Amino acid sequence: MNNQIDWSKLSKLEKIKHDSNYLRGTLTESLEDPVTGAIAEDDTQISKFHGIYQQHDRDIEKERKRQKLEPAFSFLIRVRLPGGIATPDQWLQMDKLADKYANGTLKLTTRQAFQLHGVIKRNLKTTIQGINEALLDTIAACGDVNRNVMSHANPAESVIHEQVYQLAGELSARLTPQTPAYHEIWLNKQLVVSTKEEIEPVYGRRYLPRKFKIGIAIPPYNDIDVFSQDLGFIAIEENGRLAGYNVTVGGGMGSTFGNPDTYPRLGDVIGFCRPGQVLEVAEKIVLIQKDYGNRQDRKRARLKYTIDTNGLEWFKYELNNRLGYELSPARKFKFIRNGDRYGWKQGPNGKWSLNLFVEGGRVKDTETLPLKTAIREVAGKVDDARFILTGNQNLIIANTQQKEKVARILKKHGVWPASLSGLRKNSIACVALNTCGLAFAEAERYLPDLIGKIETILKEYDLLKEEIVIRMTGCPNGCGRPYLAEIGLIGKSIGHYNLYLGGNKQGTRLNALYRETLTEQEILDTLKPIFADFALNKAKNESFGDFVIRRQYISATEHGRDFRH
Amino acid sequence: MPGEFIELLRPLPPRLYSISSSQEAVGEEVHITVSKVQYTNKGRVRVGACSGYLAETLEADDEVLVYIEKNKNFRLPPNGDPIIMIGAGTGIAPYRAFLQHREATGHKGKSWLFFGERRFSSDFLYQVEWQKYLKKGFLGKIDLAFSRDQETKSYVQHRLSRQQEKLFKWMNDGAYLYLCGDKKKMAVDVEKTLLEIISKQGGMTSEKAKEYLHRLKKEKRYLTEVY
Repeated sequence: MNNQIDWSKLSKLEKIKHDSNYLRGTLTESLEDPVTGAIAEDDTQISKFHGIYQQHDRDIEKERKRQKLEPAFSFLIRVRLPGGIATPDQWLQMDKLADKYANGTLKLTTRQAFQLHGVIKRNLKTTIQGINEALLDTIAACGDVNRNVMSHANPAESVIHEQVYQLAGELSARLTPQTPAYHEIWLNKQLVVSTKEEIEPVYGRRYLPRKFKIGIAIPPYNDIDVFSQDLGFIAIEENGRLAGYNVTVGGGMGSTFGNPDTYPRLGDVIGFCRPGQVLEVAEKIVLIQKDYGNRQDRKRARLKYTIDTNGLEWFKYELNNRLGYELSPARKFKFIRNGDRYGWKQGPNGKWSLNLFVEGGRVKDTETLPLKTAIREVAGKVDDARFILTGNQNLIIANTQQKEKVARILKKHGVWPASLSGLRKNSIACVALNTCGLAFAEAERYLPDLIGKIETILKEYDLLKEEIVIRMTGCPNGCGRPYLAEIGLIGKSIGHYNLYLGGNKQGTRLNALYRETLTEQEILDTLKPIFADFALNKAKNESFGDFVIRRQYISATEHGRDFRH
Repeated sequence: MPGEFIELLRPLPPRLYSISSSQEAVGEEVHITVSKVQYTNKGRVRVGACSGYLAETLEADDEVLVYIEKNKNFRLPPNGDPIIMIGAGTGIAPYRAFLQHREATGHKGKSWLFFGERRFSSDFLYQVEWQKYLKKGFLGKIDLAFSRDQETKSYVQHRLSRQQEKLFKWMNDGAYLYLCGDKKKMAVDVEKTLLEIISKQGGMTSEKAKEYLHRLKKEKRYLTEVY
């Protein structure tokens, strides 16, 4: 069968995956090569399936070249955490690993995962083993497989949170690669696998054409931006009980500058399924994408393009065919907000949860804010707390009965209560420079400053409390989901950003390009008169994203295909 | 008179640096490998008179007074015989010249480099060049010791010791052995380790081992440039 594959037509990665012997590649040899801090080129693709990205410090690239040294290679390690929940012990272990082997910080991602940055090659294995000691792993945190499954974060916000969280875990388990490569390479374990069994019953030798993302939302909150997921589930609660899930397909953020065949797209709601059907529905959808996804052009390989190429009706037909039954008609639901709601909240179980703001998702100590130390102290002293990573790079200290103790520790370190503008509270920034190889411009290192400057303008118009969703990414691939923001900023080159306006607070509308290639001053000068207008003419409860459309600064993007950079 | 005063001062002694380039590869250029001496004395940062001058003061196109002191023996074997190159720090200099030469002349003789420095990330001198030579086959093997990269310090002699079986075989098979770098510490430790290896692998008494190494020296197959 393999003989029939015409590799010349396929993306180069298809052959690398195929030849990797189920994700082994030459990783073991690469790790042992003492002459370089890098791994072999093909292995940099395979390592992603193990949750590991090779990067280098772009700040010092030129200087090292001058010194006849290779780039300062290091690795990003992404820890899979379906539903985003960590125990105190797991938090403490991640905190320790960050100090010992990474750059002393923890990044909380927009997909509720942990990231360690700056791990050098000779510490990779020890770090992965340390993660494993905390009963966590990094399998399939990146790569052409199902990524970390997201689910609604705050247990205090819903009676069905626990059930939904369980489902995230089950989905993750069902769609995790089965190859023993991870255990062999990182944990020195030989798993016994019968040669008769299919090693990857779902994925096969070449895995998926591209990454695949699943998230579960619980209305009225859309904190996980369900319409940005390849596959979304919208929990339907009826009379305090979980009735089932609406299914959405074909969401995805990534696009490429100068390639109009690529675009962000929101998922379509295609029906409803009972809780017991979810795993099967998810697997069939993954299999459709596996069989029909574009393996020639990776820029057109996500499920959203498979659906647009073949049509939504085709997709539904194909799914029903594979399921042997039809999905029920979608049930009614209503989202009122994406993002997180900060502060303490008592859950239906009587326990307390505190949603904290973590700027840029970066847990670190600074001179003014010892956030990392504070959370470590909570993890060390509050044994019943859970640490929930939200889809907005924030942290919930959750499900504790020791509210006073948590409050005392956080107050002592100046972490909470915090006074934040409505804009800052609703900000997301991807990592970008100096480590992300895709970035054209700064994001995480820069957005806090820019927000400070925008705040000065907002203050002038008494809009500091106004909740406005702002998201910045260093490139158009969309890790920070910028296309759903009321104010989206996407890096074009160092110091220059495209400005997108008109997303909404429910995460149900894409924004649209308003101005191109702006400098900081131009961003401020562009926003200022709009804010002035907003302060004067906004309707009651009208959000900024709705306002800019009503006042015709921009027209709403109806479908991803209409989106332009 | 200023002139008379200056005549009273002792002239600065010349500083000798190994040449780290081959004329076959770089033509009229001469490359040297200088480690800037820097230390703090009584709260003041001091730099080496010559290395500081070269690293900090000298600009492109400036002229400096130089002369060549030849080391007639410390050369590549003429016929592409196997070479074992042992060096730490700037002791890497002549080996860069060797491999430049072999690449420029197209000789792919067997070769093995042992190199030691403090840290892989910042001190792997000419890293990208060794990578290139390995890839192209001009360098056959490399063993690295970065002393500060792990809790117990590891030096170039420890790498030699670990590879002793193969190393002794190379020596017996006629390899040329080169040693370059610090005289007081590194060279002493390496030579001691070499004697241990010869003694153990060759089943010799320490006396015999000394004779063995001495013989290599006499045959100009054990060559040193230490300072």
